[in-house]
Amino acid sequence: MEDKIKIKVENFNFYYGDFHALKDINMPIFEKKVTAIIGPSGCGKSTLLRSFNRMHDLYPGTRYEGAIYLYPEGINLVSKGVEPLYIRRRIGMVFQKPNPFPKSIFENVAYGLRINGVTDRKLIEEKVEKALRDAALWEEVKDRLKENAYSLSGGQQQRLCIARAIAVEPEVLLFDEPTSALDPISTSRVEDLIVELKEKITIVIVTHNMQQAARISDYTAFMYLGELVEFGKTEKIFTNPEKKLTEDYISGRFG
Amino acid sequence: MNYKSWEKAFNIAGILAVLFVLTFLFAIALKLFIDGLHRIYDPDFYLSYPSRFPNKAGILSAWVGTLYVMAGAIFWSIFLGIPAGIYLEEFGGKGKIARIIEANITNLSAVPSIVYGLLALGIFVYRFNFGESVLTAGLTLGLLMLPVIVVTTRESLRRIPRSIREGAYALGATNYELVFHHLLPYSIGGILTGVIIAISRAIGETAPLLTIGALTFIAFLPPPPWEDFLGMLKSPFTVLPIQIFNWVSRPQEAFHKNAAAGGFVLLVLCLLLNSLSYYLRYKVRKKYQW
Repeated sequence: MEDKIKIKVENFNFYYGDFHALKDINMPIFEKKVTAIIGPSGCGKSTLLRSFNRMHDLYPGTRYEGAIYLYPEGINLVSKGVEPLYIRRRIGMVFQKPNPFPKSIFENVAYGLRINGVTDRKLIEEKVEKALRDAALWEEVKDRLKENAYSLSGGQQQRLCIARAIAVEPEVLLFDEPTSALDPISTSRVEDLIVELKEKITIVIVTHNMQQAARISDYTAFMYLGELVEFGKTEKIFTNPEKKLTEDYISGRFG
Repeated sequence: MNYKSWEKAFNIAGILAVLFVLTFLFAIALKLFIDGLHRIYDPDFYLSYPSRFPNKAGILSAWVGTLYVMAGAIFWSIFLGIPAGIYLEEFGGKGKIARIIEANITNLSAVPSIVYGLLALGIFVYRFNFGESVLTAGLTLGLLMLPVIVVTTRESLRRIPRSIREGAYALGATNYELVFHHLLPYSIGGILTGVIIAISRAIGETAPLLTIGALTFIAFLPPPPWEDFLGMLKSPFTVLPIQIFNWVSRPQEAFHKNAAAGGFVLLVLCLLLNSLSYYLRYKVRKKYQW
């Protein structure tokens, strides 16, 4: 059965001022699959990821050209006519360094719900518990929901950020090098989590760590100097890539 | 071995400098206390109007006036200064105009207070016809406090890490939600500290208030705001530093004792305000630590 497309990047270019950061990117993101974006530092992976949820709008001097279509509607989410707010409530993001709000654990997870208009207290409590369970954090924090989020360890904080992002039930979840600041045990817990989450949510993950991409992703995109060099099923990219550049990167000849 | 003896000399010089400053401050406080002792412990001092007789003269109209004027000043400076600070820092951008504005506001906090008095005289007293009143005084000191509040608001906001803002926006927060749910609560400690510092400065200002016509001998109180708010605003007034100045300018020794007592009261007020700011900062830091 053909995998359905959730997002389609079409002739997408991105500029930081005069600097042409992303060049003619064309690539699909398949629904309820994990797509990894890999490449050496500075290749534009995070820039591409942050375009999906219009994060660049927060900073002056940035410019999108081309289209990124979000399905099922097929709207171009980088067009000026589309409100970033609308996109961000459907596409969530987990950042490299855990960034919980300096509020209680409960309030962190509840925040997204509150700004999306959920006011019923029981409903919020239910959704918070569900999100924390899905993020494999519930057992560890259920007795201290009122404590400040900063009392958690780094790995727990990152899982809290994941819970916060999934509480609002987004259609797509973007991960920007989510485990680079974590120890190996926390890393593997987050990776297991991502593999579970893909049953319900489309996932795009940028990672420096090739082995991580090989472990958890279904599709992989390899980028270099702002261009998409190769895209395909993870197995193929890692065992039998088409482009030499891809093979050189995978085998560690540069990086 | 030479640099070691230099270091030692430097340390000693530093300690001596600190001791000198502390001794000096302590000596001022002590002198005021001793000179004004009799009046400080006299409850009538706080409840009497000024009088020809030094033993009967008190600071009632002065501290009530200070209270009303400072309330007005705090009101204006907070409701104009904090939103201005938030807008400039979060939404004003970093372009040329924004940088010029920032430089100008910082410079305004260094403008001598008498210049504010002249400005207020021309605009509030004469042009707007607010008269030599509590309203004018509140506006004048409010203007004086404004640059400090704007700058501290901006500095406090700057200390909030960018990652928190990105986290909130990524969940789909609007600008309004970002400011009221995150930025203000997290920066309120710093902002409050700035407010208190601004209050400490304004509470001792004499020159601008004399310029706009504060009285030096006033034997009545402005009507209380809950009885006649407008009347309170339009009323003539005096403030504590002006009362002190008036007493110390008189030849009789006894009035100088009153001045010392008044000075001591002002000093205690400032110390209390500063302690309050330390306490508030401590409480808020406990609640929101990065």
